[in-house]
Amino acid sequence: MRTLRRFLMRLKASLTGRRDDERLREELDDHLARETEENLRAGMPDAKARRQAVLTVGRATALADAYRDEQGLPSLDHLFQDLRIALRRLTQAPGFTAAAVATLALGLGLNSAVLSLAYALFLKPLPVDEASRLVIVGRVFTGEARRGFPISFPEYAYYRDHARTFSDLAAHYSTSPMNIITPAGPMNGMGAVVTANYFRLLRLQPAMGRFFLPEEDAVPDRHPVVVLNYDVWRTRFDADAAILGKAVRINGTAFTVVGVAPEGFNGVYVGFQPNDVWIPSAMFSVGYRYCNGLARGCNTIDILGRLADGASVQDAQAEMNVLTGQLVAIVPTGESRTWSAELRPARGIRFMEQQRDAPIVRLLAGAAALVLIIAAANVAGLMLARGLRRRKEIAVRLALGASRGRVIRLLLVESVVLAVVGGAAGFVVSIWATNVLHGYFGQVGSPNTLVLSLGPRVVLAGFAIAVLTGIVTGVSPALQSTRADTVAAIKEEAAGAGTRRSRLREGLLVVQVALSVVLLGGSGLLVRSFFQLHRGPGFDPDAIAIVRLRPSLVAYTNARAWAFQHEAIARLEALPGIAAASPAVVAPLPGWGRPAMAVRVDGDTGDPSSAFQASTTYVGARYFKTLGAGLVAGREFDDRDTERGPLVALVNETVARRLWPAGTAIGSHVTIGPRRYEVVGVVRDLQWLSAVESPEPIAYLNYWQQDRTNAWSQDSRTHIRVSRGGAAAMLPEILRTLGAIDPDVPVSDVQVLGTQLDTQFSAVRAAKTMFLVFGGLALVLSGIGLYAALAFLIGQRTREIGVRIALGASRADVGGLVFRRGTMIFGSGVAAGLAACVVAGPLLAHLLYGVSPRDPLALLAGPMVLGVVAALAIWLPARRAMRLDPVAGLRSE
Amino acid sequence: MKKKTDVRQGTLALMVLKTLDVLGPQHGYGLARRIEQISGDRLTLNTGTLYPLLLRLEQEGAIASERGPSENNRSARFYRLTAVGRRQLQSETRDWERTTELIRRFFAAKADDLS
Repeated sequence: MRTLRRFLMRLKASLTGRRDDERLREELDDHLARETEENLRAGMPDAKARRQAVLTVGRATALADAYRDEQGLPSLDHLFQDLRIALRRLTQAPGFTAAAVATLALGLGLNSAVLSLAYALFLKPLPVDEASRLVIVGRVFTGEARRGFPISFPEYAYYRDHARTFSDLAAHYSTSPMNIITPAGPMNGMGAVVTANYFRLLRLQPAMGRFFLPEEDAVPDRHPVVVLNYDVWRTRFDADAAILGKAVRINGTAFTVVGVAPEGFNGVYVGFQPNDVWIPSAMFSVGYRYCNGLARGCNTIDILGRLADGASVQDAQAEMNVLTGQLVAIVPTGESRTWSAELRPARGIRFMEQQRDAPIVRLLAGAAALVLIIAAANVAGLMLARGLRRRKEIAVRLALGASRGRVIRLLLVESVVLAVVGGAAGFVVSIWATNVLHGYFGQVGSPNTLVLSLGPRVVLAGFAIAVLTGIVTGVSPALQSTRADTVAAIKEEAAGAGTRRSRLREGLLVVQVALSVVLLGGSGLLVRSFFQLHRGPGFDPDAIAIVRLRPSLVAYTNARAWAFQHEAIARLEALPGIAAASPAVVAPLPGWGRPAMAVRVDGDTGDPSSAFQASTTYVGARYFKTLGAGLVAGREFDDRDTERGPLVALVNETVARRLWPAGTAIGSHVTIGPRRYEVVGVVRDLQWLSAVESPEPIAYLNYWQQDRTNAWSQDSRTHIRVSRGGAAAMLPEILRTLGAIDPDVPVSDVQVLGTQLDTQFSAVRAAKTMFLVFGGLALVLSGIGLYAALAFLIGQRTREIGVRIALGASRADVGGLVFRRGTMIFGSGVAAGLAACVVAGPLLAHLLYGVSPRDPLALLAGPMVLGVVAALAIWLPARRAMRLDPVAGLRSE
Repeated sequence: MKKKTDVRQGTLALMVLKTLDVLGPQHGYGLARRIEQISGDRLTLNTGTLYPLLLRLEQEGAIASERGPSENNRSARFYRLTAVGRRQLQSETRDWERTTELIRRFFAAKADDLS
């Protein structure tokens, strides 16, 4: 306590620089006067009394020093002194300072950008009260890598009724497509179906009206009430002050507005399309039609919980484990796989996207760290060179009695100052890099609500990294520089003294070159896979528009829905500029649901469970004409193939080769799932991704002949081929045409296929861009480092080279000396880097398409470019050595 | 002339506190003289030790100071004991007595006491 108080007072004195020197002088004067008086009283003569007094009191300056040390904090004062010296020295060498600051700014800036990305994606708490107590609960299947699957309502209800470690447990389905009829026209919105306690759990207060009452969430389909998003209320309802109690049609059902959510609240999925409306879970049937959202086995909901006071995440997890055990035993969920419920703090964006983005962010962080290491190595090299030039100054400081520790601290302070200034400058770099990242990680095609900002935490972390970098960068140059032999240094007998130092420099350079090779290799691989990807589909994705039509959302009968779908195709194909249109259930993109089914040729009597499996999907007439992908044999679906006509199927080449090696596919009959089809055509294998991957066996069934018990058989992703120009220009015309048929049917996801393809691979594109930037930086930095090191080597050995030339060494010998040094460093760096690539390459594997992680072309391209830069960096100093005038060399001291 | 000793480390603070406790507020010079007097002139106080010590004690809150008129109408800085200082003095006095008692016992110990 006492020490603390004293420390604080001294700290204050140190920081404010306010000293009571005045007070000390007073005290001394007083003391001296009294001492003199005493002496006079003892009978001394005037002058002697005074002199005697001064002798007793002691030397005033020494006293002042002791006093000052008591007042402030000496170590802190020394630090300020060091800071002043460091700043002075750095401003005296503007070239060095600028180079070092710029280098560090690049390295640190990229790191800050990746940090802010990682923070926003994985760590940022929800913008609600006490968000640190919020958790999400997801289903985890044993043995499955992906986690956080949705749960069914009855399972949620069991947890809600039995869990004691939560103060509240809410269920929500926050990605419900909702067609909202507003005064400003129909709106293709995204809504959330939530339990009544959702808003209470989030501790929100309505901007107007109220949230849901428990009784409104008790009986299915009885209380159609809705809470509006603040922005939706403001922009689409013109901030209607009398909105409460009015009716709003959502997905064909009339809802009564009971409240408006607080401004800025967009739901619990951060970075996602905002929730435009919220409806109670009892109205689940409006928000979700594919199965009964309140029934067992209909896994659509996510659980959000607020931990009870005193309960930890571990406590709650333990309780959930127990409850899940009971649940599985008591309530048959129809889930055959073993599963458990997993809790995690509610942070960052939706967990599903977190899992998707985590590997790539890790990779970016790794690459950014590599750039930082390269930058730091470069600056350390610069500082070593500078340390050598400052040998004399340092030696004088040591000779004058500065301790080695003090000198090391001075040098360290210098490098930390450099790094901190670099870090500050780096924020400019990070603003740019953050913008680039934002473009890729936000949702494309819908309002991008992901906020990447350099918040205080990110700035703080960036600052910590900067200081750490400063210390790491400075420590070995500082140790090296102060180890010099004082006397030799003052005498400037420099020759030979720097061996150990230049070895350290060269070691740094080898590391730098190796890391550059790694980054360039990574960039090479990603660029190669990007090109593979773009040549992928085997048709022109930019000529195709896809719109999602969902009559099922407005509860149409099958007849009405299909009439709409037919009318849509007819009107679209009648538009000038459109070559063909065809309905399908999924877009021709990799990873979209095409359930696998057994395909059995007539007469196949083998075991059904080991039958040949193919992916299945439904497409309409002229689908392949629409895609622009070729037909190999037979015909594709046309208007003959109606709902009630004979069941028909198309197969791709892979299926045809497998089942009818003799080429007799057309006219054959196959059983796919429960039904029997006639094969009418064989189509080319579509290459979803790359030229190298082995094609997927696919059977195409007729869109109009789908099993009609599924609600989603009413919906389509209608493909439209535009004959001239890009499809993007036709989108407004297409929307107008569809709107004219029936304005109530939700039309969404209106996109050009090419854009969708880009979106799906935005992570790969982000990685490609960032790696190209990182690799380019690494290239430039390594080149500069190599050049600086060799130029420095010549400078250091000027005298030696002069002697050699004077003694008859040829210019070529001298040039060779420098050249050999340079190539040796470069060669070892490249070898180490390539070895690292081969070892670490598989880390990139999941981002690569059609390229082996050890692809020699991609891996060797980087070192080759680096080689050109290195050749220049070696040639310039070697030329200088060859042109050295021996006399000038000898006099160079 | 008597042999003068330096003040043992850490004991000066105790002497200052005790002197202020017994004699009430004092200025720096007076404090130095009193301490030397009480020691029977066996101690000389170095001003370079005394004033930094006074500052430290003030920072710790054991003493407080203010300017005021002194006996011969000159202004001087007077130091006085605070409540914190009084508690500190009591506890340090106890510690010190315990230590001296212990040391005394050791010095008084003879071989036959232990046999």
